[in-house]
Amino acid sequence: MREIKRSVLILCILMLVSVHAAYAGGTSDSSAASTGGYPQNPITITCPPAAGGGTDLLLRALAPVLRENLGQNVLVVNKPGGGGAIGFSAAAKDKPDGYNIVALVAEVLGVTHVAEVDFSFRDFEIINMINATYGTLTVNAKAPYNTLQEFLDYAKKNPGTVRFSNSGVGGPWHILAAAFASQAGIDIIHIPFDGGGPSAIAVAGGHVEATTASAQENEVHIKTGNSKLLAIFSPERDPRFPDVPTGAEAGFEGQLITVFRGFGAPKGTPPEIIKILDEAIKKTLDDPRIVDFMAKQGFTKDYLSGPDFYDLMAREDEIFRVQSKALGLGAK
Amino acid sequence: MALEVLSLTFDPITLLTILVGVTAGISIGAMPGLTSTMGIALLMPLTFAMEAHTGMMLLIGEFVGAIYGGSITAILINTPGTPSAAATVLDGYPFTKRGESGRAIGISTVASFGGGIISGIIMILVAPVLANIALKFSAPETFALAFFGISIISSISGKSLLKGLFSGAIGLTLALIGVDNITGFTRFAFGSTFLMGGLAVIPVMVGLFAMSQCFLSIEELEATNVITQKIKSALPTKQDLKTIWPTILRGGLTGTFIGIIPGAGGDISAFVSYDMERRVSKHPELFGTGLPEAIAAPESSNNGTTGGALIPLLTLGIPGDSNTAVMLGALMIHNLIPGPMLFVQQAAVVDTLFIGFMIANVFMLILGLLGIPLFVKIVQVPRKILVPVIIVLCLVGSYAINNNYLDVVVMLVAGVIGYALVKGGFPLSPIVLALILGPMAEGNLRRSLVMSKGSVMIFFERPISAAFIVIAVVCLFLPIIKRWIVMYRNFKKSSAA
Amino acid sequence: MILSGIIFLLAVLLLLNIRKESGETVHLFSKKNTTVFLSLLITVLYVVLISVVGFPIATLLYLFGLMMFFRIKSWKILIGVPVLTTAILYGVFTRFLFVQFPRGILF
Repeated sequence: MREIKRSVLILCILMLVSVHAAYAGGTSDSSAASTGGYPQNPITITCPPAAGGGTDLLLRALAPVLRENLGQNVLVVNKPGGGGAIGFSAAAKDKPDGYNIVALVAEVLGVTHVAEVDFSFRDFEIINMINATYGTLTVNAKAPYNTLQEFLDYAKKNPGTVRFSNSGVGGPWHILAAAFASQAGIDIIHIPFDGGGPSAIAVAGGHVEATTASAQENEVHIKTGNSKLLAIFSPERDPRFPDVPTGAEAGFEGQLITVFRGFGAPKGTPPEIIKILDEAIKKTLDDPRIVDFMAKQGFTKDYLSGPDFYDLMAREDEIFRVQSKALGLGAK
Repeated sequence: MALEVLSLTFDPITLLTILVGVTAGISIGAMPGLTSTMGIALLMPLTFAMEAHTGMMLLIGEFVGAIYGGSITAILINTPGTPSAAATVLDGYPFTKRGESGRAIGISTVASFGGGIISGIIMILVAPVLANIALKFSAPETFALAFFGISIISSISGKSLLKGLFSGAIGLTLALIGVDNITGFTRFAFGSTFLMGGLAVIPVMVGLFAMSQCFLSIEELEATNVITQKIKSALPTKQDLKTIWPTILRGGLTGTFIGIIPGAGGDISAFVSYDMERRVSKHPELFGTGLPEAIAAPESSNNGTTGGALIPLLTLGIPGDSNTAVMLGALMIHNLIPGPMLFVQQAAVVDTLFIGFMIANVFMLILGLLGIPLFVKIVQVPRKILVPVIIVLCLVGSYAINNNYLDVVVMLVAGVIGYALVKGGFPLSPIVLALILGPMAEGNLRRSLVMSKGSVMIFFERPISAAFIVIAVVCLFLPIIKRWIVMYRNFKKSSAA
Repeated sequence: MILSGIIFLLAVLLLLNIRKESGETVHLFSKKNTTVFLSLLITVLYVVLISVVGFPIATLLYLFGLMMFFRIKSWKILIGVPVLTTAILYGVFTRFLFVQFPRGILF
């Protein structure tokens, strides 16, 4: 018994000593990193979406080239969970020293209207936007309607029977479907799934009538012939599907949800550092290797500067707010 | 074309990649906290620079290896290295307690190999036909499968059904934590952003099994430290092989089928096969004490899902389980667009993948068997050294999943709970089963009801879901009905006498 | 949904009641367990320590300390195992798996 007491004592002393040494010895200089010579340490990009998804893939492809342009290692760290809430919440609390940035994806808007979270998109310094994806109207290949108008006619004749799958409650596709339905004046049912992939599969298998998920998420099923793409809600036609009309061309002048991807940093990160990051990311986007990668994988390059990106998010956030309220979502 | 396939497959770089993949897979699978899916996600960026078939082979090799690798720690230290090995602890660890860990690992290796080969054969021969089943699966079918899975809790409860149900209830309650997928309503989160995401299965599993096992071992630090493991019986005996080959057949087929079902993978199929084996066994009461077929069933089944899950992935672009879901991304990056076109336009690559899959299984068999002496030595390390190291491994593994510190806290808490439960004689496996299947069942139940606009008939109008539900109900009530029949007969006998 | 929660709680309580009747007394806080609880305490300290001094140093200290607590005498093991384990884990996880450990002051 005495032996145990002695070794526990030694152990505790050791630990206490090291804690003291740590605090006394190194008062880490976390205040304003001198911009002369930034970056001096590796940079971490927090990625709220899970590994293997579109955002993750894009970040991991960008990282090595970004590393060349910044001269420091760039690490992509996934922090999935809570529809993005965990990752964004953690990123908002990171040190604003320029070594922590976060991938800002559309979920940063959606999740704030669904659950009680402790952040909003305004808690970040906005660096820039690099990519945008748009929703679609995708239906099962065997369905009787072949254009957006025919679909709307069908929906109007059968109110309350048309089912839209989406990637999750309060997510971009859910909101887009709600906005689409309210604008078109049709009465639909929303069925949430766990992600864009499963919602696309539901349409391919004929278990629901339609989905607003992106062309990318539906691509496999369009190519296997199980689904057909009726329209894309984007400003211009998608080069991979040149025959598919945009929403506007198909007669639907509707609100666009932009599923964006961009970068942000915790509030308080010095503007000079933001500028350096912005330049480096821009340079990376123009690198031929990245241009090639993005083209092959269907990521369009849609660059917006920090302030413009912020404005976009503010506009989109309003759509999310209005539709979420109409759907009855949100903090009770 | 055959020549092209052969040259692609037996190219030394390809073979080396497969070997690396399988080795990495076994290591990742064996490490508590790291899962096969994580391994694929982590290895994927490495494949960007490789050619399509080589890159995919790395990932497929990891897949095959990791599903097998989980059984190693399950057998040696009563901790599943991956969720698909959660059923292997039931009979695997008793082998180690008897000193026969080598035999157990051998059985597991052979069974895994068998299951994998069976799924590979099915994949090669009948992929397109079977793939269409995947398309018919949606929320109602998935719910029915989960419902069936939960009914298995009775089978894995060991001696006390009541305690098993209690464990299951604990698991279901834990599964409730988080944001409800259908309405966005937050449950049991107490205002914490972290809890909003729900409890991840891995930290809970690692904590329940590994940490509690460590605590139990700490109690016995001073005791005669080590159970000497018999090296002589390092390989499964001929008798063992004779006993388990029907099991492997059953497990491999079950695993392949469940692998085809989108969203259902090794973790579910292992339990289903364990349960099935117990029902067809001549001595079901011996399950849990260390029977060869009780290891062979889950292991052949979980490796059976590897080939099974690849079927809908390649033919329809529908992932059969979480591993193949990540692989879908890899396929797209390497320009291998799933679908009938893949088989026509890139037939050589597809055939290479098929053959590579078989080779991966062979490598797994060889590595596994060769590694037995090494694995067995691990158990013979004195507990005083082993326990601290394992604790650190568990901590690191739990953190590595989501880079989240709080997962480590979850693991520790689960460890304390697990320790208490084991002391109280409660089985731990039902908790894991409930944690995995609970959300699946509830989410899909409600999704189905929305799809059917509130009609419960949706489950019975669709043939596949109806079938599963009927099977589940029958399985649940069969033992009770049997008992009634026996009681009735006894009653008749005693009144006739 | 709240309903199902209540139902579960009820089920749990029911089972708890039935359980009490089986009359086994489980010693959760007996003499045997002091080692376990002390180990748990040390482990919790370790977890806290990681965020203070960083993973490598904390792990070294923890393994060293815990093994000493378990009364291992051999200095070869007391030094060798922590160094080897920490080195391998740190190396594999940061280089190959790109996992980032919380950074403490020193590391």
